[in-house]
Amino acid sequence: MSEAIHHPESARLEALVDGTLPGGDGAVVAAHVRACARCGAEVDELRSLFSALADLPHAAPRTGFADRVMANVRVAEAPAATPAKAPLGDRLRALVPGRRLGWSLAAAVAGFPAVATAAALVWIATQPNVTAQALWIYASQQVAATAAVAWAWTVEAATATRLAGWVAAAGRGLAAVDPGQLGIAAAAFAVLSVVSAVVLYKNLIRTPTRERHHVSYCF
Amino acid sequence: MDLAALSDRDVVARAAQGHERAYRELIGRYERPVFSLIYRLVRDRELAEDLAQETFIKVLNAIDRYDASYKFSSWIFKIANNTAIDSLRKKTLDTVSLDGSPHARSVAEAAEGWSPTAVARDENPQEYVERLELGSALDRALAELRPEYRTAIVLWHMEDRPYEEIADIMDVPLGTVKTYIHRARKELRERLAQEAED
Repeated sequence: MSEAIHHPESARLEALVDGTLPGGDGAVVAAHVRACARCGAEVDELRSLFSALADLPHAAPRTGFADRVMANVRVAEAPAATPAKAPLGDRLRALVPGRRLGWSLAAAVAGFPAVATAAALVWIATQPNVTAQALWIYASQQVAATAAVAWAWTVEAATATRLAGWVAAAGRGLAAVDPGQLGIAAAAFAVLSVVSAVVLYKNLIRTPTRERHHVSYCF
Repeated sequence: MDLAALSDRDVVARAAQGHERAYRELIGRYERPVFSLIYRLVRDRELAEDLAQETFIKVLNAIDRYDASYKFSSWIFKIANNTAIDSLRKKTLDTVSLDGSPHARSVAEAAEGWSPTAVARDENPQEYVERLELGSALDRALAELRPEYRTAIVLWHMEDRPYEEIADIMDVPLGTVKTYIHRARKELRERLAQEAED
């Protein structure tokens, strides 16, 4: 008794030619097609059909199609242009004076502190009692005195404000509370924080702007 | 800027910013495929041109509302297909047969449009003539298919669109697209075989 031959159905042969048959099945069907004249002929016919379909030309509209379309299209308005930030080089160049008067003013402004400082240094250096060691001692004493004054002022400001008093009172109050009650309060605070974060996320971040007015109803 | 080097999405973004050249680039990219799909459906050159124009006008006037998560090609083909199908439905309602339209070409006349211009390098004249005959016969057979089969076949074989995109364009499940394509091929083969016998 001869063994019945099972030919792949047309859809699988088409998928083989399309290249969409999954790997394993593709290999099985391809092997069958190589060995079976009937299926081989069908695959050849499919290839020829698919190739002819792919070769069908694209019909084209008449010349000037784009102009006829554009005559009926409203070109979108460009978004309002924001003034572009000038490059750094341009901004620096804008600071350079353009005229002689400008250059004179710039030189006066830049030169006055330098001239005044140089004059002061020359005057100090020409005094008979002024030495480098004396100048160093004087400068060190001035810096130490200024730092001490600043520290004293900071401490006084910190302890004298109401906030410092509130923080101290809150600390004393918390120390007096029963630890169990404190835990319950902390847990309630945490739960409320999470709920409020979820509500904020759902209503303000995830919801589109125009639905924000539902914020009070959404949980 | 060389718009031809940009993706559809980038060109659409430039069009939405008001660059007219970007509109023209989109028309240049899609006028032939869109016109071709519509023409294969309505089989009337003048009507196809009107419908293709209508398709582009709809798409380009709504360009600022384009959803970038959707492929531009799917969007424009979907509108082209719907526009053509609507037109076919109207014709059916008006009880005017397609071939009875004052602008319609006969199937044979329409098939004359099929003219492969070049002889392939490895093809002898006899093969060229056979290809020409097959193309003409195929064009006639294609014209006899149901519109949804035609859309599926044109998008798969001529536009190289994947099944998923065809399903999006036609608004049908993926399995239905495969069924349409399979049945369309079967009908085409039967019609070509019939023609060969005649």
